[in-house]
Amino acid sequence: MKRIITLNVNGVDYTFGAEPNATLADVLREELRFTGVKKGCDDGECGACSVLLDGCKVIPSCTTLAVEVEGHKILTIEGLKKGDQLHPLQQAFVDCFAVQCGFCTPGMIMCACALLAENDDPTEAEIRDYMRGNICRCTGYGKIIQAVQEAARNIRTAKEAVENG
Amino acid sequence: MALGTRTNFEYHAPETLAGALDLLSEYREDARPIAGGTDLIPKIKSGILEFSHLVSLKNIDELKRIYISEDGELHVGCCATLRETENFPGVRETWPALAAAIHSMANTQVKNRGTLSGNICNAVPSCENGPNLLVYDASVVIKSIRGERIVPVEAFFVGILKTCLEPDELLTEIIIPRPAEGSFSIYYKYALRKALDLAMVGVAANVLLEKGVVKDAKIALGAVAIVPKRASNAEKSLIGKELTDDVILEAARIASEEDCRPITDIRATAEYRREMVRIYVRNALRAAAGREGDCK
Repeated sequence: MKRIITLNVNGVDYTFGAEPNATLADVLREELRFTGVKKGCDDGECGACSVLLDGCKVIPSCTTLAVEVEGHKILTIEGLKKGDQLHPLQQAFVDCFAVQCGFCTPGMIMCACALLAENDDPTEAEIRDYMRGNICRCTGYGKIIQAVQEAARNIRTAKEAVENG
Repeated sequence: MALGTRTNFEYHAPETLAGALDLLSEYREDARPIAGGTDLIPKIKSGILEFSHLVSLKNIDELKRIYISEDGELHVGCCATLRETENFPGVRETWPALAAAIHSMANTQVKNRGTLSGNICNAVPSCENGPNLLVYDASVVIKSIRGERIVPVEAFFVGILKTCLEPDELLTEIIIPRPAEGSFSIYYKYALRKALDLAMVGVAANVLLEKGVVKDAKIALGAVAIVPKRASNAEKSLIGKELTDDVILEAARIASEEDCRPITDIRATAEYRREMVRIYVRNALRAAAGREGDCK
């Protein structure tokens, strides 16, 4: 039997009926049409469905039931940019050519977003370790890592500029 | 929605532990508790689990707690996530084999949902956390409406995907004692990939030396028997001895030949697993003897 639940996705409350066995990835993609959430393995092993829960906790939306995160805040790739301004991670992925087929990109960026919230200056080893659950079938890892480091630099520089007035 | 043939069920989200235990008692085999769900949901999708009632533990705050008690025990509630456990202040320093095992498994995303309790309740022979909980002498707190019992981890695992939990019972907490002052503990996992791969072999050791002599040694093995198990014969061979390389090599041989019963499967052959048990027990003991440089 469907339950009426409310999810806050990218800052907007959505109230809808969800089957108890529907995953968060299912409802984000098919009920709410946030198709930037990708389903690769649908088994928690590829990272393509990564979204952020309650700020900066990266979770696999394919192995999370929608009813389990009722009332929580979800951020998908669609909610990352501010107005027309891309998020520094999105911009860095463009600038560093860190996108090939693009299927893993939303999950990569959401996972990197969680990483930079925990560690604003990660080493390559730290990036590889934190993002090891995100698989790029095109094997474009080198440029993805460069993009994460570039974004980290840009975010730090912007922060310092604000702090120094 | 693409739910197709996936099992459906009634969803319950009780506000209290008593409420959850009532539901498990009422529906027994027809009910499943869910904490992180990262093992349960793939099973639901593949259709290998049949049940009609899902009992969510998400609203029960007491189950999310992690704390270190006054006598130094680490208490990990069954809804505390793996990352919360790994990153809990003091865990890396005091229980390094636990931190290493958690670090070695799955990925960041899964560990932000999955729990230590769920990992051991799943009870796969390769369970990364089996060996370290064994060498730390951990226990689990099991509750039902019939009461509470505390079971050593050694008695918790009873077979492949089988634990001692009765259908109406819930594992509510794992208790991990503080290792003896001056002891050394370590966990090694052998897998082909760093992410998401299951262990071909896992070895944990917790060794206490006193004036250069082994006072206590606990060694546990994963993925080489139907359950994670202690290498009791190898342990016995060490007690009262100095950790010379002869003693270390003999204990490693015993662990490999007498203390495990590996099988051949898609990940590795039985012979290969035995050999890796020998290598990792040797390396763990050399590390305990302060000779990590010899571990190549």
